[in-house]
Amino acid sequence: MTLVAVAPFSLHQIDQSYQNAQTGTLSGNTLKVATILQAPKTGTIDRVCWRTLTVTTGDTVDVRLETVGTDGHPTGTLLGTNTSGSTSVNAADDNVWFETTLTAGASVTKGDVFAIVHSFAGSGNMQITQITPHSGTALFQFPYCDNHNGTSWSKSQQRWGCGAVRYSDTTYPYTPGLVPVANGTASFGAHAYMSTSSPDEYGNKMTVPFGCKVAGVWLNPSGTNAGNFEVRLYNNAGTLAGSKAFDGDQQSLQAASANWYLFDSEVTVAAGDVIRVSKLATQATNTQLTYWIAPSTALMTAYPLQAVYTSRTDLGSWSDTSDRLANIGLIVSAVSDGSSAPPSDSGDFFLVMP
Amino acid sequence: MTLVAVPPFAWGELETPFFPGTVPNTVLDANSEATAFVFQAPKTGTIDRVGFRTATVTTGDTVTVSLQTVDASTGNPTGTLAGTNTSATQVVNAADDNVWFEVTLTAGASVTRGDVLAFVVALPSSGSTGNMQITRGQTPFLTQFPYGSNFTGGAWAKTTQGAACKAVRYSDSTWPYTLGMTPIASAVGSFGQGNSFSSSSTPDERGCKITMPFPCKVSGSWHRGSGTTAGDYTMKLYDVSNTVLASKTFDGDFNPVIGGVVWQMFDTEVTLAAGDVVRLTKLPTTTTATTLIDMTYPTGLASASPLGSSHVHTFRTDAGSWTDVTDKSTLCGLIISALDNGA
Repeated sequence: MTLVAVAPFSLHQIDQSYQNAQTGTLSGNTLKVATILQAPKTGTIDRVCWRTLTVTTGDTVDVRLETVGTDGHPTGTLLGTNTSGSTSVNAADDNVWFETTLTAGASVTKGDVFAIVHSFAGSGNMQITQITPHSGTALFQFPYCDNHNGTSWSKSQQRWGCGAVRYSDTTYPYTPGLVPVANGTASFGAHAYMSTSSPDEYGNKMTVPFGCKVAGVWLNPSGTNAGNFEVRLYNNAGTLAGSKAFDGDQQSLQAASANWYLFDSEVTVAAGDVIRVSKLATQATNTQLTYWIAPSTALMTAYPLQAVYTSRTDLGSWSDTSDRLANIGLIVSAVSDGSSAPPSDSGDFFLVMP
Repeated sequence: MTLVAVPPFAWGELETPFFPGTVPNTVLDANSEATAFVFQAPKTGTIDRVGFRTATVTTGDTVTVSLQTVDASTGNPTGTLAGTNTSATQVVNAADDNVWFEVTLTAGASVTRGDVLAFVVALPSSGSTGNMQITRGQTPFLTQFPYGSNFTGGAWAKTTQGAACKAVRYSDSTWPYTLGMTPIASAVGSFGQGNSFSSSSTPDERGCKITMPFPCKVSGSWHRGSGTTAGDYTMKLYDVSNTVLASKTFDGDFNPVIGGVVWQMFDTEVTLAAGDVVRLTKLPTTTTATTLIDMTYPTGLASASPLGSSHVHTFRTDAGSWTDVTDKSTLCGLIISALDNGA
C-alpha cells in the first residue's frame, strides 16, 4: 500500500454537523412540511421515517412521496402509485420518532429528485422536527426543506429534515437531507464533563474502511467550557497511537462549532483496524462533546459517520453504545494511491463495491 | 486495489473558506492594535515567511508581523515570540487596498508539527497613524479551533472567526495547507466571486480541473452558488478527453431563498484512478443565469489552499476549448463514495 498525501480533510464532519432542532409546523388541514432531496440508491423505498417536536393536538399524518415541480416545490402528485401512508399522532407524542409504511413502495433510481411531504386532513396542531445542518455562513441550497403556510410554499434556509428512508431490503441508507434522531428531548445531546467525572473520556469506536494516515481529529463541542483536554487515537491493539493536549482556553467564542486538532505525528491505520478516537478531560473544569442518539441500532447506517459511541472512566474499560454516535472523527491526510500489487491468483483484482 | 464503499463525503468542501459578499475584516486604527490567528503548525520545519492581506487601507503604517506563543490561561497571544526574532515589519501604504503581502521573518521559526502558534499582525505600540483593515475570512462552519483574536480597545478578544486569509511558508519554499488558513490574491475581485452566467454567456461553462491523487468512486458533486439565480443547469464530469463520465441536470428552482452549499448526486458512480485528470463543471442550460463562486490565490500559493494545487479553475464557451487558470480554483468538488482500502 502506498499512501499519497492530500490536503487534510475532515472525513464526514460537515455531514455530521447537525445543530439545533427546528420546526416545520402543521396546523389545520392546509399546512404542509416537505423535504426535497435525492434518492441515495436505486431500489424501492417502502418506509418513510420522521419525527415530531411538540404536538399540541394529535391527528393522522399523511406522509407522501411526491414529484417536484419546476418551481422547486412539491407538485401534489405522488411519485408513484400509492406512494403514501399515514400514521396516527397523539397529543402526547412530543419528540417521537415515527416510521410510516407506504401503501406501495416507491421505485426510485439513485439520484432521482423527490419530495417527502407531511400533511393531515383534520384539525391537528403539531411541529415536525427539522434540523439545522451546520452553523455558519454556507447555508444549504440543496437538499432543502419547504413549508406550506396554507397559501403557498416557502423554501426554508438552512434546514434538513429529521428523518430517514427505508428501502425494501430493510436498509436505511445515509441520505443527504435527512438526519435520524431518537425519541426524547435529550437526543440532541452534549456532554459536559471533566477529569473527575464518570466517564471522563468520550469518543467513537470505528472500523477503518480504508488504509490512510490520520493527521488529527475533528470534533463538535457545544458551549465554551474551558477545561483542558487531550484528543486521542487508540489503534487496533488499543494502544495510544496519536494524541495532543490542549488548553481549553485555546478556543474561540463560538459555542456551536467545529474544531480541528492535529496530532504531533500522523498515525497510519489499515483497512479493518478497529480504532477509538476520544476527547479526554484532563482538568477538573468542564469540557464538552456533542453526540446523537439514533432511533434504533438499525438507523445507525443512516448517519454518514459509521462509528459507535464509546466512553470510559479513569482509563478503565471501554463501554460502547451501539445506537449512539459522538461527534468526533478523523482528519485524513493520506489515502492509498491504489498502487498495491494485484493478487496473483486472480485476473479480476479490481473489485468495485456496490 | 479494492475500492471500498464509504458514506459519501464532500471532499474539501468544509475546509474551503467562504467569503460572502461582505468580507469580514479586522480594523486596526490605534496604537498596539492587532489581529491574530491561533493555529497549529502543519508540519515540522522552519517557517521563514508569512503571508497576510489587507482590505481597505485608509492610512498606511508599518505593521509588525510575528509568530508568538499562546497564553494557556487565556488562549490569546502572549507577546512573546515563538523563537528569537520570529518577526518582521512591513510597510503598508494608503494605496495598498486589497494587497497580499509576504513577509520574510528576521529569523525563521523552528516548529514541530502540531505546535500551537499565534500569527499576529500589529500596529506600532506608539505613534501609530495607521487605519487599515486586515482581511479575515470564515469557513462555512464556525470553529472554536483554530480561531482568531483581536487586540482592539486595549484588550484581546477572541472572535467567532473560523478562518484567516493568511499562509505560512517553510524554508523548503513550500506553502502547505494550514487548517483554517487560505491565501487570497491581491485585488478586490480575488475573493470568492459569484460568477453569474447563463447559456448565452461567455464563458457558459465553469468549473474545476482536478488531477486525482488517489483512486476513488465519485457519486456526485458539491458546489457553492451565490445568490438565488434560478437558471437551470447540468453538473458534468469529464475525463481528460472530454468524454462525459457523468452528468445530472437540475432545475434552478431547486434551491431555497439564499445562496449556499449544494450537494448533488449523479445517477451513477464514476470510478477514477490516481493520476486521472477530470473536469467538473456547471453548464447552464437556459438563458437564465446560474452562479458559481471562484477564488484566486496569490501566485504559487494554491498549495496553501484546502483544495490544493491539483484543483484549478477551468472554463469554456459553447463546448469549445478549455482554458485552465493556475492559482485559481472554483468552489466545487467531488462527493466521494469509495476509496481504495490499501490492502
